[in-house]
Amino acid sequence: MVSPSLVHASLSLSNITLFRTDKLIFKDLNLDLPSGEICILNGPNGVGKTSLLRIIAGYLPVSYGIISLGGHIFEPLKANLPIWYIGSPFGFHPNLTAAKNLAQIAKMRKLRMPEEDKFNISDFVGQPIRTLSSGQLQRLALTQLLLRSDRQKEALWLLDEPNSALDSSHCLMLETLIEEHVQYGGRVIVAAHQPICRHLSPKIIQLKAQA
Amino acid sequence: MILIFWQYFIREFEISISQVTDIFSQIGFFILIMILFPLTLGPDPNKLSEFGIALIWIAAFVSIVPAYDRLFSDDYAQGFIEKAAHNAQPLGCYAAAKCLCFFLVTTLPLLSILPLICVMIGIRLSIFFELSISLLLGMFGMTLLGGIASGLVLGARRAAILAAVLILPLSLPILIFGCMTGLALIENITTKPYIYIMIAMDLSLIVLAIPAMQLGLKNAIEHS
Repeated sequence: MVSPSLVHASLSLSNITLFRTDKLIFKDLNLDLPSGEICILNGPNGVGKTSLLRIIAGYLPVSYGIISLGGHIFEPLKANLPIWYIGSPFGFHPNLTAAKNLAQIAKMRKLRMPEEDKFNISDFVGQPIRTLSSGQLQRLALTQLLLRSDRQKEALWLLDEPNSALDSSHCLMLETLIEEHVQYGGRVIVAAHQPICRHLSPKIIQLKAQA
Repeated sequence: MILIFWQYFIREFEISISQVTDIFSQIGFFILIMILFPLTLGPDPNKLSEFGIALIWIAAFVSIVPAYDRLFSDDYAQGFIEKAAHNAQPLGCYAAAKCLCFFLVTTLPLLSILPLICVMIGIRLSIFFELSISLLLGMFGMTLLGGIASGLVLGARRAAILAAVLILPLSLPILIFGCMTGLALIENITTKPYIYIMIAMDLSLIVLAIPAMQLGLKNAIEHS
């Protein structure tokens, strides 16, 4: 657990470089993300948008570089900050119903179920995951962001193409949700091909293919 | 910690119930193998009961070992292990719950049809209780070995064969002492030494397996 002062400190990526099996994916990436700000990762397929999100989520080790939170090394898997990585595969079990999957995640992270059904998942909560469409799956995954606890407001959201299969009304809902989260002091990093949250004047990282 | 362990356990149990055909096919395979022995060795009960214990152990191993590589691979492919890594509790907690559930849902159905198998191969039913204890101890150790192997080969190609190759040599002590227990039962001598050795093996495997599985899972996440 991190001291309260650090929760609002800046999340800094300095000189992040990633090699995968000797192939350079990206090098010397820098980002400074104080609480209440949003960053968007842009770039064509295969330039490492997902990899960068997975690095910040703590799944992938960096080749070089340091991620820090308020001057301390950032250890994502040790619950420095609540982190939500929403990207395919979503981690739901195909044979269990949507409701059961969501309830399990809430219990495992000691969260309460959402009050509002913002992504209209009530239409399909009784169905097993394997019968859902990709848009429905994405809505269910995004509903995880609505699970409540006292620390959820300061959470870091890592969204990997969160609107790729959403219809327009749910896209709007997602943008509203991100806007609220940022206003309350949360942090959001989004990798997206479609334009998203342009009005929030996000920081933009443009990733390019390496020669 | 215990609460989270219980949550994971319930999740595993619900998943097992939703895939109940997997359990039936394992048990069916076990029965099929056991039916082959009276057919191939001949129906003489004395001869069968002499080999019987070893045959039960081999059939139990052969029917369950192929399932071990799937222990973590489904959750890995579906991205659940990554989700679990963000929970407050270590991944070892998840792995231990998974192994315990797997052990119960594979071994208990196997024990439930064991009396039938005993009758078929001429083992007297009076030793059934102690035979079950030795099988429970043996399969518990096997599940932990399976967990280690499954965690290690996660994400590798041809993981099934790799896992089996890893498990089988390591499981020899369990197989040997398990069969010794059964033979002692048949000859009506004390089984205590063998049972104690199996308990010791299981306890040391618990200590080894949980950190080993945790490392294996973490490694798999980093390389996905």
